[in-house]
Amino acid sequence: MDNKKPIDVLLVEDNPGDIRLILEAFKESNLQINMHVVMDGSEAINYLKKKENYANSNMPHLIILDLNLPKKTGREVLQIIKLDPVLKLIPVVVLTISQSEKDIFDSYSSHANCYITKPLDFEKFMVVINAIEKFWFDVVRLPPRIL
Amino acid sequence: MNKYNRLNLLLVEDNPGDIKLVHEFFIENKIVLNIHAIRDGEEALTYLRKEKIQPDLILLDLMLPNISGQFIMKELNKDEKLSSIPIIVLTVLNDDVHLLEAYKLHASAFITKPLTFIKFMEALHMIGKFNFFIVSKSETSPETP
Repeated sequence: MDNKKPIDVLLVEDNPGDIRLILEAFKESNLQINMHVVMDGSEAINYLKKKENYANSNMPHLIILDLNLPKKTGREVLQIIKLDPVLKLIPVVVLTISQSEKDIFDSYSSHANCYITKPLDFEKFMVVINAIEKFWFDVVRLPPRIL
Repeated sequence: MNKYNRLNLLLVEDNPGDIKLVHEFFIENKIVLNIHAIRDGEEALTYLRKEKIQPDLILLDLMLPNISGQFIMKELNKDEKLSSIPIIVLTVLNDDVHLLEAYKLHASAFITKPLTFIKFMEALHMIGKFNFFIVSKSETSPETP
């Protein structure tokens, strides 16, 4: 990615501790990363479809999605995104505590771009967030902002 | 998370130099157990349809002899089991048309091959680190005949 262009990331996560860790990890980045946080599945869909409070939302270049969420689960959110002809272009990184084979298989079947199990250990958690940043923002070409 | 001793990578690439670089990097650094390289699109599709043990990841070039990488993705998407194998597009192409088409066809990620050797090695390092050490793979799909 071009280092000068800001990158917008939508974080869909209901655990305040995890939100804080992820925001802090990305804050240390050399890149300009704008994090947008929503705490339940319905809000995520409203954000992406620019409904209710999100009429002026910035479409993200990347979505980080928890699976166990209030209102609409991450599984439902993933399906809605990947069945939408435009939203499906945005890469979705599933980041969850679930290690269930069913969740992994179903997420890939619903076309999650990758599935990551949250490490419980703080240092390993930071390694994961750092790897997300390096892989997705340094190596991968993300789709241009859409909508 | 490190399961390198049994990870299989399918490399669909027609450039012999790139095949050599990818092969040496992943095998010498013990990132994957086995790399199967196929230089022809049609052959890659036949291999995926016949092979019982599916790769954990496909590194896919787009411009290939006989059939394109995009056509391979379209065909894999029609198959419930094959469609869950993660595909990383690794190509010299860097335009938005090919980029958007690849994501539309459910590529996991789109990577433009860096032009310098060092940058290419760095990219392979991150592809390996992220996809084989950080990301969880499904155990169901690759081993189901």
